Amino acid sequence: MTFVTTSLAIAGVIAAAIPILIHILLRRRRKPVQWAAMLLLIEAARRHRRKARLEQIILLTVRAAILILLGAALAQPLLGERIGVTGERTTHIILDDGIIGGLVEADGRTSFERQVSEASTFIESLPGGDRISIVLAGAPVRFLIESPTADHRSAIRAIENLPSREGATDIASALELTETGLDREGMQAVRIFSDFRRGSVDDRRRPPVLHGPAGAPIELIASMPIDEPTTNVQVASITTARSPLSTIGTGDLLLVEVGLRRTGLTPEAVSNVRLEGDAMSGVENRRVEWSPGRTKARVDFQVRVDTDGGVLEVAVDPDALPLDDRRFVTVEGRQPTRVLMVDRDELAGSTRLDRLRGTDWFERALLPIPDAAIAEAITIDRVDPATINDRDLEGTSIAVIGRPDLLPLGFELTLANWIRRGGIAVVLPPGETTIRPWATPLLEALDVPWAVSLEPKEIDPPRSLSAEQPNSALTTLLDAELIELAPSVRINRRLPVEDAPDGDVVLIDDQGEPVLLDAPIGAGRLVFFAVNPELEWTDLPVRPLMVPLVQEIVRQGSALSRREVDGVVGVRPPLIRGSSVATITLPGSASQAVTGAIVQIPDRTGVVEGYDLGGNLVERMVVNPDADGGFVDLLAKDAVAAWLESSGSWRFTGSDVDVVEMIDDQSSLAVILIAIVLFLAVLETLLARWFTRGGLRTQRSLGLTGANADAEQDRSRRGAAA
Amino acid sequence: MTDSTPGSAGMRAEQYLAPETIGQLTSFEFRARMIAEGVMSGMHRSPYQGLAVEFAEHRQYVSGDDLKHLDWKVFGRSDKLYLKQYQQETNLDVVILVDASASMRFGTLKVKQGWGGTDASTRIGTWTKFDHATAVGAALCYLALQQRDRVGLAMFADGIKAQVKRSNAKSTWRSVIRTLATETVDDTTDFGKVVEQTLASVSNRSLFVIVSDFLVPTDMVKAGLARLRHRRHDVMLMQVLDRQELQFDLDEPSPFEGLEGEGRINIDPRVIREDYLAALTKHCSTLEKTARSLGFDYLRLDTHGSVGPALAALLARRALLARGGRAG
Repeated sequence: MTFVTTSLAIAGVIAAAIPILIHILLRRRRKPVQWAAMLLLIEAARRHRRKARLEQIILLTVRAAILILLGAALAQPLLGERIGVTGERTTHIILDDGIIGGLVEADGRTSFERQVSEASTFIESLPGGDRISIVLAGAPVRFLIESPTADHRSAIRAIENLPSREGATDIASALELTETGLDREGMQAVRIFSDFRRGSVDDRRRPPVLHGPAGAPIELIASMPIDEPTTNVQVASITTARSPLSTIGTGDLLLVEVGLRRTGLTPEAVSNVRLEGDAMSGVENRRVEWSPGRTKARVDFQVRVDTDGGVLEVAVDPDALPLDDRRFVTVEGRQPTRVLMVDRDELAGSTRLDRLRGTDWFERALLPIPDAAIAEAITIDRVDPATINDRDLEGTSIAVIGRPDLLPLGFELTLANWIRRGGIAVVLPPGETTIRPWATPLLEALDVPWAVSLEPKEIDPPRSLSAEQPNSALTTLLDAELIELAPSVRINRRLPVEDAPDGDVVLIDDQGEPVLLDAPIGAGRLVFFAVNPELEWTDLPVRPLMVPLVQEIVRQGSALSRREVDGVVGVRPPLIRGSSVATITLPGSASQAVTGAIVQIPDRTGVVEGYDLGGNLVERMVVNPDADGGFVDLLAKDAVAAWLESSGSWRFTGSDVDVVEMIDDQSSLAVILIAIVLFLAVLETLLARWFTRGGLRTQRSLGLTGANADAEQDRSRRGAAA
Repeated sequence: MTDSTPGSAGMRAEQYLAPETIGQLTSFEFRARMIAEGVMSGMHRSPYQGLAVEFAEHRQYVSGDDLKHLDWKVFGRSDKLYLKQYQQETNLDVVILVDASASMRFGTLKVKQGWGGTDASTRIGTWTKFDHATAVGAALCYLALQQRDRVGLAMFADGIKAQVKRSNAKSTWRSVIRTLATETVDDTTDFGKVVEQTLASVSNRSLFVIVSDFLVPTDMVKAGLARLRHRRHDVMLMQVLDRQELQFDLDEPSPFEGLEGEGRINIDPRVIREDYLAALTKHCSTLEKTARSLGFDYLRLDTHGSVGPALAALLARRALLARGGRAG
């Protein structure tokens, strides 16, 4: 059994002991009174019994009424609309155990630990019959107690030792999960325990509408947004950049670009950044000086990477939120980048420029000069599109597909799977005849919305590339050169592409038609040339733009795809690129088998190891915290209310007034009943005292006198008269 | 000489006859004399003066004496004024019945250490109803003997426990005193049996003075009085009750235990007081009506009050009888 207010229950027990103590202290054995007129006393007692019966009935009625009304008051009867709701009350508790909950407060506790304490107090205060379910709002959102239980002690034990996770808070998903349990019988309530800092509220999502059983209202209560400003520096990103062309040799340095972000208060401060890991030897340190108001900083490291690659860790000085103070990245070893040319081999070796196909020009652009170093950095293989299979893609970073129309039927699915795992597919339109409609199946497999024509279109007069090209991640480093290099490129033929989103277009001609497109797909990319880099289509292959364009497609494409390889807590699992990986070990979890490349979304940061069937370590991946959930900026109550508004009308309450507010809200009739009980208690006391003093008679008799007293009175009267 | 002022003499006599005063007299005999003489000296005029028919003695004249009793012969011989004193002649028998049942042991008036009284009062240190009854009885005996009435005494409870035969001899007084002082106070009351035993020993018309608390069923009392009336006797009922019994002003809930074996009941006096007083009033009223209906006198005495009214009532009754009248 639980009490609304445990201290009151203890006080009640102590108070109950007071009359018992008084009774014991005052109890004494009274000496019998020797009485002569027992005849009259017995007669009086007999007379009194009749009268006392009426008095006792009156007292009994009052006392019974007191007990009945007190019981009714304690049962907390409800007025108005709640009267129709039957059954026990079910409270769905949402605990914010996201990364923001790891914020360490002045007393040394994390904010999540404080909220757990408040939730425990709240659960203890619930009436014994109330049931509770608990949802954890830190991604990945999940039930802690799915089936509502009345075992409050177990519920408190379940949340007592919970750590805050490193995923972002997702209250919207938590409410969606909660909504699945709201159709049960009885009164429903939802209670959110969160500080509602910026990291707990995702503006991109709106909470769902919450419905109770049969449209009954749901009581929605949320913690008051916290009003204690603090500051937090987090490692927001790590980007490694290494040109495939410089992968070899003693001068092989890895550029590590670390993005720092500061939220909350932004005073003048200093942060120390440390880079270390098994992919390098030693430790690199940098110092960042934050000027007031500055929220972002970038720190560059150049480190020499070990041959076998490995994991690098970037950390900043511990601050109020230590969970986002470090971040991992995997670094590949010094292995050559494998590029697979998928094209027919019929004219390989031809030196006539007008006979070279797009793949030939691509290869030449990759290896512009016969340099031994570059040759070791890039391995170029060729395969006939008609004979290609999934084993050809194993270990391949980039596949340049010159004749997509010749790919085996159904191979587009294999290709899509490879792209999603980090592969970069550069697709060139067929230079001559088209054997079959190839674009639609491939684009559908990759879930790309473009509409690519079946036949190329001659352009007369020829167009040139526009001097102003769209911003694209793929050509970021070429933006300055494109202004000069692009207009010199002539285009005679193009394959019309429709419905391409603006973000997917990399190069356009002077008419605004797309020439080069790029779409991120999973961890990989699809790069599509609407204009085949052949001389019959365009003079791009012989223009200065060709080499840097191809180089950037490979370098930047590789870098971009590598960003999506790492896992993020609560968001995505690490990408398993090697097909030989049979089992992986996630941080804090047991080894699990890899089934169809589906990996559980991790809930902790750390290194993920992949093993083949022989138990050999074949791949290492990392899982990082979701830094977007670590924003410690304060939100106003109105802003939170506006965000939550879509789910219903929320009431905000502080931790110290929870119970009182709930009782006040639910027990308006109980207050009236308690007032009546108090009145009846006073009435009972007065009646009992009145009856004890003589009951219903109001005049107190003086008793009889003797003749001697009468004579004295007579004499007194005579004396006064005289 | 007696004080001629009725009021002052009466007040002084009443103070003189207060229980607190007479209780200090250790001698039972002296106490009775004092009570009787106190009453007589307080009277304005002796109600039985002039009723005597037999010369007793002379005494010197003092201012205020009636000149008609002056002995002129003596004045002629000696030139001194003497009054002739007469002794009263009467055929009235006075039988005093004193209740010595256990209920008479009750009393609430505290007495000091060394006070006189009965064994009952000495043990519990209070002026009991029995003390009051014996004081009244002894005084009445003394008074009656002084007037040459034949006096008899009986102590009763569930029957006659002790008695002194009627006589006007001087030795009677000693017997009365001894009986009153030595009789135990115990047992229950059987009023019918007492009347029966009393009537068996009385043949001529007599005045019965019954001093009791009469805490018995009124029917029983009524039956006994009717028998006395039937035998043409005169009766005075002197009901002696303690002030606590009359007013029942107690505050503490307590067990109450009967003195005559009625058992024990737990009651709260505050709760039951009104009903008790109603029952007491009814009981006393019934008793008085019964007495009046039979032509008898009824007097209720408070043990905390003076014993004077009891003696005055007896004297008034005697005077009435001596003139041949009857009250009822």
